[in-house]
Amino acid sequence: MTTLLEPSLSPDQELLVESTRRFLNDTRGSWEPRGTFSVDLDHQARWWREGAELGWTSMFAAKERGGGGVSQYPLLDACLLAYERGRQLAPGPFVGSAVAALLYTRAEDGQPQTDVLARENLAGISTVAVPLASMGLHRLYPGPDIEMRNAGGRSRLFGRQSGFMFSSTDTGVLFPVAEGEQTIWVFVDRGDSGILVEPGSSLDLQLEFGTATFEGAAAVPVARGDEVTRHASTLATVLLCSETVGLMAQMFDVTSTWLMERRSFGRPLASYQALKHRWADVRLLLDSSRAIVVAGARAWSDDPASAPRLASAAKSYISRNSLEMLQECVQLHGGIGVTWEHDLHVYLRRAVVNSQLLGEAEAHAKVLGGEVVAEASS
Amino acid sequence: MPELRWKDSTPDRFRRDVRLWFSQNMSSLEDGWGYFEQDNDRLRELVARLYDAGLSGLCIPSQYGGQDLDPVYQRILNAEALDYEMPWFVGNPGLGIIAPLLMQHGTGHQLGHIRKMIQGKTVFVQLMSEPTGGSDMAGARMRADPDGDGWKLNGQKIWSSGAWRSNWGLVLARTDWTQPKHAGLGMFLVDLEQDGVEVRRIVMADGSDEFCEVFFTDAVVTGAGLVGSRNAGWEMAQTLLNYERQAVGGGSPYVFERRDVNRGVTTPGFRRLLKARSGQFSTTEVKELGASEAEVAVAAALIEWVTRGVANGKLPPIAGSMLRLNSGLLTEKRLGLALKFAGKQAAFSSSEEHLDIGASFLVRQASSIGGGTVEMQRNLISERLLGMPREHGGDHKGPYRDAI
Repeated sequence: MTTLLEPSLSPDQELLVESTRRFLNDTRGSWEPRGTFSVDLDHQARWWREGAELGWTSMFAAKERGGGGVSQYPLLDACLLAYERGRQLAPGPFVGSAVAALLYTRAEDGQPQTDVLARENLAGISTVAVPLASMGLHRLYPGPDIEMRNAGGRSRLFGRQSGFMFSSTDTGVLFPVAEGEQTIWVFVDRGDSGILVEPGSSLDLQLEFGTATFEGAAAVPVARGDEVTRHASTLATVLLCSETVGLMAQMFDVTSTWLMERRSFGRPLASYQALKHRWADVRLLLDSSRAIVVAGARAWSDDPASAPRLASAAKSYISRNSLEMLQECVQLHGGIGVTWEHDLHVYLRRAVVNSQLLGEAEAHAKVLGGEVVAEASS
Repeated sequence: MPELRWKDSTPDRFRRDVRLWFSQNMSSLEDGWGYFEQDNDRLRELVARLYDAGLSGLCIPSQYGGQDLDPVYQRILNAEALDYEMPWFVGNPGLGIIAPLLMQHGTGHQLGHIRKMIQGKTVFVQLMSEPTGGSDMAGARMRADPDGDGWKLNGQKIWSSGAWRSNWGLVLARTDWTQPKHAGLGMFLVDLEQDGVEVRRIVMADGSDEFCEVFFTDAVVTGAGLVGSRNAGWEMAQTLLNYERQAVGGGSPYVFERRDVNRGVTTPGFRRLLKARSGQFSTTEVKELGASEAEVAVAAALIEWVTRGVANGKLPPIAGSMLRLNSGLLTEKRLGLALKFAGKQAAFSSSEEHLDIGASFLVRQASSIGGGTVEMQRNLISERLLGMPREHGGDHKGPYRDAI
């Protein structure tokens, strides 16, 4: 039973995975995937800083600051971690901090505030909330409900931005707005009097999503341009998909064990051909999902022009199939698969939420289909 | 040893050189789908041309006549060759499946066949399935009786793809009827250009006749023709099957192969159809095409992922079954989608224009049956990769002569 995202790893990558895996195992009692938000915040902050030391925040940080992966494929390295974290439903804004790190490296020079943000992001001291539910390769431009204009010699924001994923370690929000003809990513400090953060409820028991309303909040410019947004969206999409594949892999292993051990009519469930055949199809789906994530991660370094297409292929395929795959795991468990007590629903909750972040399956199918049609007409 | 033409090249330089060479030396083919009609002479001519340019057997070790290169070079060549007439059938099953088997189990004499395949002098066919059993390959009833130093073969094989254009065959036959089913088999290399071998083509539902029945009447195999030992045929067959699964799924580095991820599972008719729409597609259709395109990209990624894992020893060779299963299922979906898009034009048309989509649909299941059925792959994946309990078989346990 292979439990790896990518079977062929370098010794450095194996070490990277092993140290995170061990940390998650050792601290497993510290977090609760089923929990609500009433967890010791200081503890969470300390735990996130320890994760940062293991490389969770460094893959996309500037090399001068000590950033970079452990191989020639930094996105693959990050995906290996996202996968392990997905398997355990580990908390913390892994995808958001990766996006932020990338954006900070594209910041204009001489921005002391961005400097501080980058440093704190890398060290795991603070994070920023990114609107993962509202951004993506399907939608490069900001929504119509937000406006940035000059007031009192500064850029200030007015309106609403939805889709933020909030964490207790956030010092502010980071998201794209329109500035004239182009998009610009801006940071707003949570302490600004002009921002009101409204968390909402989520199907996932651990994550917190919500809206920020702006009434003249000061906007700190971070990075500009469609290319930057496309780059950040590609990164986030592949990483998120890797986390989802981790969810799938964990439930695959749990259900495999169940099939071998559970007996019915005198023999294990695993001995029934109908179930064997369905399980082979599930394994095919799982390995296909691993494969497309790895392809996207490698393309990020090897062939960047093809990376957005592979990211959309991954998101279209995995968002669509992860839910059916997990439901198959539920079905094979029989009655206990739909109980609160079993972990299956907790993983399904995350999978449902993830399927709606960064563009749902159909949105990416539309992007890819548009390319097919354009190519056919050329 | 052939001259190692590319040992100092880089992938990018190789791509440029190959692109130029093709444009100057090979015939371009609008769709490249007329290749089924290539007979042995045409194949030999094409392979010889490629061989002289150092472009045949790119990844085969040099001691067997190849160029000793990394698989990426074969992929580059295959991508550049898409719009040209190519000798696709020298690779399937010869270089793609039989050459790896010989590299693993062949004698020095037998390994000489690899060089001949690379040069275009030999084209192989696999002779495994019989009318009484396709999936149950081990149930073979073809007789291999000792005759002097060699053997005499009697019996019939079926579904032998391309036997009509092949001059050599790899045959599974029963060498010992006193042994149980799996234990009394031998694998042989047979010269098909002899009186005792008769090839008849089988017409398929779409009118094509690539598959054949092959009849053996006291056909002669020399002593040098036995691959492995006398009763090791099943072991040879299982090795062969692993290579076949990988190759059918697109994972062999030894073959000229039409595997453009954007075109490989799209028929020329489907492409023409999409073009004829002049960009007029509903949102639903765009999404359907896109979702399907995602699956094509995933299939290509899976081939890379599995072949890398198997090559590095991180995945067991049986993981190749997943490639075979996936290619069958994907083809079913793609041809179903093409039929849907063709609509009335697949069923009736004032010209032949789109009827080929309908014809492809008629034999759609062939891609889920040939090279191992998808059902067999599910058995293999669940049992050998996932360790689930084996099926209870109904096979007779004693000598095979008592079983039939």
